[in-house]
Amino acid sequence: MLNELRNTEAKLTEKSYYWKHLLPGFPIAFAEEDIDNTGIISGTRVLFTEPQSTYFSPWGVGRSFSTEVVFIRVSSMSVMPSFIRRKQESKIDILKDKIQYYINYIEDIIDDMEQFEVSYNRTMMRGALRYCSIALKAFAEKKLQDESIINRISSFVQKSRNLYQQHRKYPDNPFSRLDLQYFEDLFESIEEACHQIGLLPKLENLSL
Amino acid sequence: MASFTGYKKVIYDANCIIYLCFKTEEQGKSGNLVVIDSPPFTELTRRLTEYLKTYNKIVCTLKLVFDEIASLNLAEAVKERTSDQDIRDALGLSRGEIFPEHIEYKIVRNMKKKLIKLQYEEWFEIDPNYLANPQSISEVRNFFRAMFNNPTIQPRFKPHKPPIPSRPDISLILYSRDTLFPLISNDRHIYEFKEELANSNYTHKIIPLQECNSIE
Repeated sequence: MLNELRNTEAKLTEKSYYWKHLLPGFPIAFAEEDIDNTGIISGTRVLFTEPQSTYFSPWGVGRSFSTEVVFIRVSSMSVMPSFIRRKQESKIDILKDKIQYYINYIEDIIDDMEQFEVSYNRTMMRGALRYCSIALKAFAEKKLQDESIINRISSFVQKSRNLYQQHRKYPDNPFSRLDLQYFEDLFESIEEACHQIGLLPKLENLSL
Repeated sequence: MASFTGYKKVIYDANCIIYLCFKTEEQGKSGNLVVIDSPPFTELTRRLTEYLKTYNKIVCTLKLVFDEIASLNLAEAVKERTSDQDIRDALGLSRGEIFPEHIEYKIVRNMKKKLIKLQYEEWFEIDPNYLANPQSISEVRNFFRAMFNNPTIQPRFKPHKPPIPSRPDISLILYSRDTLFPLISNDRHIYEFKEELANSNYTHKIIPLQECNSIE
């Protein structure tokens, strides 16, 4: 059933409607029909295939928090004419959501890595992640247009999470002994990029 | 009073090497510049090193020790120093406020760069080949175990610290024996038992860093 949802898209009619995702790579989900034809649906059941996703429709913006069925409250069908404007506004909201998601994700990884013994690697990873978190906040405040830095940071964060999870499988191999030059190089390229676009100074120029 | 007459080389332990790199400035919350170092040892090690360089002596250590400083000890030293209340007060951090991870990384990264640069100085040498004899390592461990189990000697051990030195530290003790170079140490573990270690032929000579305040 999930594959069917991914591969098809319902036409917008009075009796059916769709949620169209605006974040690339996220699959489409469906809502049940508006059986009483009022266009006003509250507590609509929607099956999402990706957790932590934001979905947009002419009737409102919904968030999923798991791959299970969730309830979304929607507003009246009368907002249809403002669909395009809301689509643009929503793109900004979705980016803000994405940034906040990764800021929260970074906090979790920093907390998790605290359990490792104090070492250069631990200090480097936690410090680099904290810098990325500050960069994300700065991006949200400055409302910059070029999102490529967000993608680079989110990729770094995801790799850091993978590193932590893989290392947990082998607790006898100390985190301090891992060769993390790749991560340090990756971070330094993010640091340079942040500096180049005027987002954040390099680490050596940051202070308390 | 320390004397280095007749020695071409002098061995530094991990602490002494860290002191060589352990000085940086950080801006506090009110814009003041705070020096982060480890007084008085940072200055003492710097003066000792200048003295040794003046008399064309080489400072040496083991690769095992150097690598452990880079991967472990330097970050531990920074963590410890940035937890000291005097530094936190000077920087304007309130009690309980977490020392920001990115600033901690900034400090450690800067110090590590100094450490890496050290290995290319002409007065500094890292012995990449020395491996202490496993039998000798075992004997030194037994030596410390016996000292610790002696009730009259036990108070000389630092409380809350494992009584047996780490493998890198034992290797330095034995390196002094095998090379006949003196070992400068600020590790109480090591210098507290310098007489007994020398008398048992586990080392040649251990000089506490504090004794290098005046040199003949």
